Amino acid sequence: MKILRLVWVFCCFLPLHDVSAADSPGNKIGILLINSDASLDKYKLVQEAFLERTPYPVREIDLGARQWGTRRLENFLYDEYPDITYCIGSKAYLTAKKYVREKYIVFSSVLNWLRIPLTPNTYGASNELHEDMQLMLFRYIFPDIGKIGMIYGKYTARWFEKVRKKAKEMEINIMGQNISETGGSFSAFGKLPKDIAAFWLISDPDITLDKKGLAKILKTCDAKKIPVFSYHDAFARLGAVLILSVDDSTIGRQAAAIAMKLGSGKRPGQKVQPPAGSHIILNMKKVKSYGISYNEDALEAVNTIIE
Amino acid sequence: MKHTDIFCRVVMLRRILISVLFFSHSLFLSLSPAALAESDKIVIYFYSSESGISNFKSLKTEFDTYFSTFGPYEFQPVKKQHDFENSVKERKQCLLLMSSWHYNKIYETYLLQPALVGVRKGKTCQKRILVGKGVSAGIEDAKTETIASAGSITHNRVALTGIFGEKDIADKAEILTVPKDIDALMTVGLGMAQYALVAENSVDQLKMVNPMLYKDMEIIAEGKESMLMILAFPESMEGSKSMTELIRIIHDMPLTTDGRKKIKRFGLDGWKRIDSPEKLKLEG
Repeated sequence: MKILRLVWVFCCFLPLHDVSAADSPGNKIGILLINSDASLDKYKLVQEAFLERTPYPVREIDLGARQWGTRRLENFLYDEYPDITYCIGSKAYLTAKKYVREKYIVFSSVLNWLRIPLTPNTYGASNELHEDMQLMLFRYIFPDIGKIGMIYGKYTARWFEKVRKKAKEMEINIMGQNISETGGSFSAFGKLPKDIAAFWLISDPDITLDKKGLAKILKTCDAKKIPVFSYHDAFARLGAVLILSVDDSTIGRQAAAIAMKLGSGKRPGQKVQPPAGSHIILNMKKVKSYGISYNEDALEAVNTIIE
Repeated sequence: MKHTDIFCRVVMLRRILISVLFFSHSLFLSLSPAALAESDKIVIYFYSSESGISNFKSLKTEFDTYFSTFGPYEFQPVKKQHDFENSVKERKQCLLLMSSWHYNKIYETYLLQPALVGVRKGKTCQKRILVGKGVSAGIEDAKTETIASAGSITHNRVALTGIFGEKDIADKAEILTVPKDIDALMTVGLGMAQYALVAENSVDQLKMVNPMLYKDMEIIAEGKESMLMILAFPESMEGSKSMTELIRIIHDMPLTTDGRKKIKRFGLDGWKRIDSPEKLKLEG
């Protein structure tokens, strides 16, 4: 009984957290890294790149690996009260914002960061490629494609207008159709001009939630040999020709640069930076079967070629 | 003859028999087709200090498929410089694809010989240039601002030492590593970095892709000219028929559509055999 009591007392003094940084008493904590789920490759890559570039000591929490009860997490964050918290993914960001909002928070890998509430001390790298970068890469890989069709919803209507203007500067004509005016993705697609040379499938909840409509669009594009440009590798399996997404390692390095700037007492120029690196998948099978011409020199920039 | 003597002889004979059987079995295994293929296999190791290539799995699949049609060849992209150099140490039956800068650094240590140099737009050399945007763009400003660049940090710092003329400043420069030159240029366009350190031909590509951004860009400084990608081999393999054959296969890649597309993945149009003056330049 006495032994059991001793064990119990000993357990009470065990650290409540699972951190991988050295626990030396004199070690001043610089940065706390919260990963929403380090078992996801995307998040893991971001974390590795961040750690590789950060000169400060970093403590790490993986919200996906252990059961972090609210109380335990709260105690830990209040105890640590880090100067800078780097959050990978929305879950990590919302946690940090709840408990350490007065301190600097740097985020990355958050899908549609415009949805999340930012504190005055929040900085980050967005997870969506800047439209200029996408347009430039379209032009780089398919220089002959000058007319691109796009459907958009209420969330992306303003963005569409911005993109259309930008595209003109690069001599690309974007033809758009708002799905709220037509009652569905497929009918909006049907109202696009017949001579579009490519279809740009954007990340819009109104479009992605309409799975049937989306499937019909992809089928029609394939039948008409219209190349589909998209943002997620899942669409490559569904026949998209070009997928442009962010390079996860670069995101981690960008976040590290922001953290280093904050750590040295400076403020980054932009509150939320667009990603600086792109990841390109080119479906060469479709390129060949559609008979599309492309810039062979651009193959150097392609990450994955599907053959 | 005593019984004990006979017993000893039988035991001895059994031991010899077992040893012979074991030896012949090992010999048989080592000469089996799989083992033969493995020992004959030439691995082409690839490491680039000049670009931020990270798609190793995809590259390996693509090039393994391509080279396997010619013989027992394997393509192995390597992520870290240290691992690349270890591979050279451990495997003598190999070819090495690397930047000329990297070759110059390690050829004496690992006793390497250059075979081919990459060709792009008819040239075997390139310059890396520092470009910036805006009225304040200049070499002094670049020393304290963010510079976007593809490739390894070490290689970039060496290039910046040449440009700034001082190692200390280059070591302190804030470098944002991106996967490709076009990303670096775009990063400047979007304001995440103020400068980009890129290959000269990337700026020409920008002119074609985004003329507006190209107009805003200014060349701040030019680095030294260096040779394009090098294909090298360990001196110990000199004269090996299989290696000579593989070098020929790589040299002739642009002769077929598939091969031409494959070398475009390294930003090259073709290969050229290295002559003596080029070897001197490369190793100088």
